[in-house]
Amino acid sequence: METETLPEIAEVTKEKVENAFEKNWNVIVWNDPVNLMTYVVFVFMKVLAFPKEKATKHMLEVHHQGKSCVATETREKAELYYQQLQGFGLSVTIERAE
Amino acid sequence: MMIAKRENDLVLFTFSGLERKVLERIILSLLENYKLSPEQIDRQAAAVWYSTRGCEKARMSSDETADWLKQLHGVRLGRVELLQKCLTQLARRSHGPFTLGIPVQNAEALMTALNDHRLLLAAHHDIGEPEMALRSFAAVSKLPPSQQAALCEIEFLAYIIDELLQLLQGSE
Repeated sequence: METETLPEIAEVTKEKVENAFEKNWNVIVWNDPVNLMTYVVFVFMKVLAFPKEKATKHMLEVHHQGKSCVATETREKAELYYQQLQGFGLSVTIERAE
Repeated sequence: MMIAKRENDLVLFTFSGLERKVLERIILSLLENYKLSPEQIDRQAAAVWYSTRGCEKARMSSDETADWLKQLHGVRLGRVELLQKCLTQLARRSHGPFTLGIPVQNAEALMTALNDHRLLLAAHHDIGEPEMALRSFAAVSKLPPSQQAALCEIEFLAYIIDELLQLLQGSE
C-alpha cells in the first residue's frame, strides 16, 4: 500500500506557506520620459504611504539611476503594489530579492 | 489660459474655447480606449497601460497574468463614469471662457486619466527622452507636425496635472 505521498504534500505546503510570508520580493519602479517628477512623488506618497522626503528621494533615484526599489514585500503585497503603481501609469516590475 | 481653483468641495477649471475643444477630444479618446480590453487595445497603448513585463519577471502563469490584466483594466474602467460626466459638461457649448467643475474627491482620478493620455500620446507618436527634453520653440518646430501637436497636448496636460497636484496637496 502506498503511504508516502502525505508527508511530501505536507512538506510542499509548509514551504509554500513560508514563502508566502517571506518579504523577499522587490518592487522596482523604472524611469520613463513622460511621467512628471511631481506626479511620481504624489503616487509614491499615495500608494506606498511614503512621507514627501522619502518619495522625493526614490523619485530622484528613478530619474538619475533609471530605477529604484521602492519596497521589499511578500509576493502578495508586491503584486498589489505593482498593480496599483502601474494603474497610476508608472513603469513597474517585481522580482525576487537575491 | 487655463485657471484651476478650489471652491469648497469642488475643483473648478476655467478654459478658453480652444482648450475646451482639446480637452473634449482628449476625454473622448480616453473613454474610447478605456472601454477596450487589454487584448483589444492597440499595441503601443497596451505597452504603456498594460505592460506585462513585471508579470513575466515574476514568472506569473498565463492565468495569473490574464487575471492581473483584468483587474488593471477594471481600475481604468472605474474612471469612465467621471470622464463621462466631464464630457457632458464639456459638450455644453458657450461663448467665452468655459468652466468645468469636479468634486475634489474625483480630482485624483481625473489627474491619473489625463496622465494616461500623456503616456498614450507619447507611445503613439514615438515621443521619448530627446523630444521631451526639447525646450525651445525652434527645436520643437523641426519635429514632424504630428509630434509637435502631440507634444503640445502633453505639455497642456502636464500643466493641468501640476495645477491639480498643487490643489490636492493644498487640501491635505
